[in-house]
Amino acid sequence: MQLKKPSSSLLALTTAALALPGYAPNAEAWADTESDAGYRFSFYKEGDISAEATNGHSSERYQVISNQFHLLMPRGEEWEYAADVTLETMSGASPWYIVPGDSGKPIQVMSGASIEDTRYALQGRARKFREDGKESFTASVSNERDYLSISGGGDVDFELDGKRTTISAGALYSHDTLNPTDGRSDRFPDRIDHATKNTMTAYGGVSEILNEQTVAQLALSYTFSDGFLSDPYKEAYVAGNIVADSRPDRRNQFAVNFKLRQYWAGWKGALHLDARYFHDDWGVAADTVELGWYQSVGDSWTVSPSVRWYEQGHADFYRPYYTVTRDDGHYSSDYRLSAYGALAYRLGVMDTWKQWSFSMALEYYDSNDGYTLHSVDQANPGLVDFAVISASVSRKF
Amino acid sequence: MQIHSYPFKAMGSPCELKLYAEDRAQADAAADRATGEISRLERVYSRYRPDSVTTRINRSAGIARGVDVDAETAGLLDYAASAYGESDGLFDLTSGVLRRAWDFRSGRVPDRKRVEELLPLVGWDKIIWRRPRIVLPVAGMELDFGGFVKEYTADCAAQACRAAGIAHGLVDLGGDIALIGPHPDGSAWRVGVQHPRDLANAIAYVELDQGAIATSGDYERFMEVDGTRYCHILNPRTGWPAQHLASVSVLAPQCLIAGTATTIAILKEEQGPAWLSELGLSHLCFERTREGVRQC
Repeated sequence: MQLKKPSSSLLALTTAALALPGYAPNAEAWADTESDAGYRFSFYKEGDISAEATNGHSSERYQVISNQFHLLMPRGEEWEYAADVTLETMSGASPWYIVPGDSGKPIQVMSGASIEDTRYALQGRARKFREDGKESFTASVSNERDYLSISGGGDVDFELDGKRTTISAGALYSHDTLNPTDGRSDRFPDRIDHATKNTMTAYGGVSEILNEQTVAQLALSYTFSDGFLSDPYKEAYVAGNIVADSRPDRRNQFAVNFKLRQYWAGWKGALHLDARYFHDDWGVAADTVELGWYQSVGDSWTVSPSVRWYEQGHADFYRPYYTVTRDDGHYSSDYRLSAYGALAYRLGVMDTWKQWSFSMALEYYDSNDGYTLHSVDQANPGLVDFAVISASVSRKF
Repeated sequence: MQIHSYPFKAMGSPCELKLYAEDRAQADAAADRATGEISRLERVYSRYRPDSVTTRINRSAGIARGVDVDAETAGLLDYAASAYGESDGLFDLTSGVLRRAWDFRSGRVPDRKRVEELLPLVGWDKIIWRRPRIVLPVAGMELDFGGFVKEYTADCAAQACRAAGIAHGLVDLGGDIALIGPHPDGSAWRVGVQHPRDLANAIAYVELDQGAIATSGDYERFMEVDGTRYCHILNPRTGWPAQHLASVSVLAPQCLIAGTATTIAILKEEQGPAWLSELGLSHLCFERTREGVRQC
């Protein structure tokens, strides 16, 4: 027996062979002929904010319990329909505003009352498979006591060069309505009681099978938002006054995503590398790098550890607090607009048994101003750490 | 977990499924799905059935508008086109027409003129293939899927077993073997390779824990006339049988590719083993010698 590296001839034959319906489970572009129903549970919990950050006592933060039901139904060889129902309960306190403490040290003030809300979401998707690609259409609605979001979109894939190259493009539009609790009340006179925003995203990408073991993808996306883009529950300290969080009413966001998937047959494992660059006209620039390893164990198990690094610079108008007023009137002390970085560690386990699939995952996320490449004058005291545990079960019919 | 064996006959060869399952019922259900898939493909691509896709295509030879084919046949034709290109024209679905000159049961070598008369009907490059339509422009042309459908079927049958929940086992269609998965303890299957001259015995054993192995040789259908062996693997350019290699086995992730590679290697004659190395697939080749065969 002699063996050399796979040649371009072998790659051509393999590409042609894998396009055959007999290998359909390996070729994504053919509709799965089996229905699939599943349930996913996840519990998200933010770490307590320290007594030091609040200059008083430590405080519990946000937590979310999420239940998601999923149904996938192929119809004939061409169409596939999917529906997702999500029920979530959220509770806890969140950062409200930041005041200057001793020698200018930022002190986080948390929202006093515990917020409790329930979110219901319904998403539907129809997908049509062609011999050279697929088209998908999605529509979704998400409702909470103070927030309603309606969105719809479509995307299309074209497979070229015997499926070695896939070109994708898509667009998504959402219209959101905000009716904040206690808006224009005696207690929160500067909190709005009604607002809307619109978001439009367009994206396009190209994915290339470089060889039998390697797939790379490059995608660009652009998002335009207008309307009320502030957080109605947040405030900012401005020269002794507490004012409503107030951000520009337009935002242009650009992102470049790169994905690499490298399979090693000898190891029965695959390396997943994901990188993202983000930039917007609020002055936020961010980078993400994620490295994961998907290892097959035994017949049916997959274990996937991964680590993700994220870093961003702050928005032009962001300050932890403001000692003077701004000419443009934009104020936000939201930690999500501050300069910071984060490291997230995740471990996932998947198993299949007959028609059943099971998965569990644990993620720990740690954010810190020390993890960013951007300059940080004063770290935001509201930076969050969180853990998510999730489990799912699904069955094919 | 128990191993269950299902011997049967299909595609003109002795076949066997070996399936590890929790119980007999699960193994039976998987075997039913696999054999159902095998008889479906045998029916669809048979040259002998009047309602087969092959017959429908071959009946359209000489008709300019051709016929439209289904997605699976289109996939096989795309694959055949790719194999034709990668083999410099040696792997050719149209070469089956040469059977009209070569009757291996007759014990008679056809005269050169008879073979030459058929050559104008051979050549994938003469076919017009634009998915989903195929045109065989010359009356008398034929497509023969026999050269690779057995291997494709082995892959499909293995896939059907996996879909039925079988993770360990193999599908053996007359020596073309597609693994469903290794033994339950993860160990490789030990697969015998047919001795090209001593048909009751194996000439070698190969350890296989994933993928497939296919074997072709000059012993499957042949005749010996005046001390020369004429086998069924016919060169589409000359119309005459390959002469150099007695047997070629190839390991590949798909049995389809393994089978295609064995055919091409035999048609490459002396260059066959080197071409397989170039292709990047593990292989075992035996060449003819005066005394018998020898590994090369």
